[in-house]
Amino acid sequence: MPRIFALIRSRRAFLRDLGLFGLMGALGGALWWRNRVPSWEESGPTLRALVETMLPSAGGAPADMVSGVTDSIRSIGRDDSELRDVIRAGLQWFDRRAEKQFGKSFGELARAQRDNVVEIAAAAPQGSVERGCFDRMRHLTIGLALAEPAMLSGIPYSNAPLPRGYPDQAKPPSSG
Amino acid sequence: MADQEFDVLIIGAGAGGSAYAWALAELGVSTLVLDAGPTFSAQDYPSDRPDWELHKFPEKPHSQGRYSARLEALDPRWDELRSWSRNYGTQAPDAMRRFIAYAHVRGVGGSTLHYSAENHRMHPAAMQLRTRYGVAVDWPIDYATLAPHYAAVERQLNTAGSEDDRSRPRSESFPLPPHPPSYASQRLMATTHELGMDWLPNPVAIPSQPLASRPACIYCGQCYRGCKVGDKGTADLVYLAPAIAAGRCTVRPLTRALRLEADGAHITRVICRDAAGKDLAFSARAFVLAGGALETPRLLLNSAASHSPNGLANESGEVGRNFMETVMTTLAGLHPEPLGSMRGLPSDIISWRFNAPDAIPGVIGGCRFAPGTASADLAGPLNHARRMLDGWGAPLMDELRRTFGSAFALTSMGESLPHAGGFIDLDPEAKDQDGLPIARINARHEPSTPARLKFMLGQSRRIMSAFGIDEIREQITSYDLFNSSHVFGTCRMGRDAATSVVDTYGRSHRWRNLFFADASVFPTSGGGEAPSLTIAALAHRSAGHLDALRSRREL
Repeated sequence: MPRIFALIRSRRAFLRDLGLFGLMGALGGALWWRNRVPSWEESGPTLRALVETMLPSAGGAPADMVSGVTDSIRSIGRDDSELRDVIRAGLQWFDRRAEKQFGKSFGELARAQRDNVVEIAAAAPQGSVERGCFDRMRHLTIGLALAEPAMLSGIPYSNAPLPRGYPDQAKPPSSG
Repeated sequence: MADQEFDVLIIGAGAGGSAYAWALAELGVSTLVLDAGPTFSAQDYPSDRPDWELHKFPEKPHSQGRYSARLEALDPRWDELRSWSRNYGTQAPDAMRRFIAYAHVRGVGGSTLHYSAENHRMHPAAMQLRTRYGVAVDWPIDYATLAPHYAAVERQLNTAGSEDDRSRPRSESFPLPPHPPSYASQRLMATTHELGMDWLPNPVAIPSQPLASRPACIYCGQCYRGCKVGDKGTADLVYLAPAIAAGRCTVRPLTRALRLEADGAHITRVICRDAAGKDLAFSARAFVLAGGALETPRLLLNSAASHSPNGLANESGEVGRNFMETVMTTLAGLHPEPLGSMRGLPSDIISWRFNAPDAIPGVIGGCRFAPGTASADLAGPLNHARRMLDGWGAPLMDELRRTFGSAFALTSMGESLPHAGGFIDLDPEAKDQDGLPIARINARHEPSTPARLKFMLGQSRRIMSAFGIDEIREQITSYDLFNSSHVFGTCRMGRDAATSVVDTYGRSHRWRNLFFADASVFPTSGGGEAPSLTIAALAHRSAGHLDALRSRREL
């Protein structure tokens, strides 16, 4: 009998313990995998779904705008680790909440269901993971969408202040 | 490092230094003007870009100084004064006052490049706080002494204003008639009379009529992002350009003054470094410091030598002392009716109703009120949606369509009294790119400040309510945020060399060829008046004195 086995009770007990440890390791790994915050790249589908939901746009956001804004946020997040961490943790919350409430990931929900989850995040206390993500995403989606003149067509005075300025400034507004 | 010699050398090309150069040029004296920052032009400014709201006044290499700050712990008794936003929460979430920035532009034109061009004379009584009210100190000159210099500078700036301000006597009319108030301001004026708010057109260095040298304003409201039209009276345009055209002024941007050198009696030269890192030395018969209330004391303290162990011109120990900052509040909300509030000058009307030093009940030191929608950066759809509206998605867009143009902000600014807790010193650790200590802002609220802020907030709420805005969506104050653009003191003007740095002409008590031309010489701040006109008027007066000394060979 090799010397090492002298330190344990028997070969059978050793193999049993080894199996138990392996099983526990696998369970722990699975648990860790489930709880770990997805990487920035893995968060893509949920990020896109949240952009689609939050983007300020009359009658639904055009797909190319959704893609553009999603790509921009992913790009910003690559350079801004603080922002990336806040949004990444928040996106995990959105998926979990969707699973718990509707049995699907956030990206698989219908529009009304998504709005329901976003409402919960918006109403959460400041400093919570979900509220932090909501606030950042709202800030980003508004900024990225409304910097596009096409998104503002039809709103009086919403063009850049120059070159025309506002020579009618002393009169009642034409509208808005 | 060979010396180049000039008649008068001016350090700083902002409101004071540029006005000084212009005034001397008018008297036939040539100057060299140095500035640590770059030049700016209309092409730099973002107000014609589709994404203009994402861009502030542009930053260029060397256009921002670096500062550190030691601020105070906040007092829970004054929590009502804290800054908050309905959508973004508290702005200073910790127990300490938060340092945002010293809001300035370093460059040719200085902070006039991003100012709203307000041209305010000081309230005469605010220059005599000690004699009249027993607080702070008096200015060593009175309003009447400064009045002709105010008038000369207003002529140069082509100030447009109203004759109806009885609190500031005038010997001559404003060069141009006032601008018509915007529609939003007309509505504000009409609805707040019952509160005793006597609104007037705000005097501004913006032509109300086209001039040969400057076009008329188009009321885009974006003075803070830089004037792309070229009508705003910035220091580079109204002071430096004519001095240069007269052949009596040379401007050297991107040239940092590192230290002043002196012999036993005079300042002899300034050691500088250019953008390429090359050291330069300039000699002159007289030197004028115009770097502002942070950089001027810093240069003096960094110029300590055996003859001036505590810093140059600091024989009194007053260099850096008596620092004063912007005391301000802004409230913002949505008016129930369309106003088109993005239109017009940023602060086109003003109320001096509470500007006299004894106008606020129970506290000495006044304040002023003015619309602040553009200065609060609420004139565009992006910030309107982010900060004034709730929700997301299509409902947010519907709400933006319904309410855009109804955002309105009201700003007040008040007196900041000098006290021992406010001072500038050299940071013992942080250094700039040249290895020199940066200026450290030590700012604590003077004891009367919270009460003044409380009044300013309360009156602002009453004005907003009378106007039709009961729900405030954003409250920003200087109580918990340091974001000053107006800073004063640090090289006080006075008659007594033991308690001040410069005399009544802005001339160093000790170094007789050293002059000061910025808000560092202000003994007190005034009750919310924008300082640039007073800085320029003091510079005009000092320049005349310098020229007289020069003519008498007393320099």
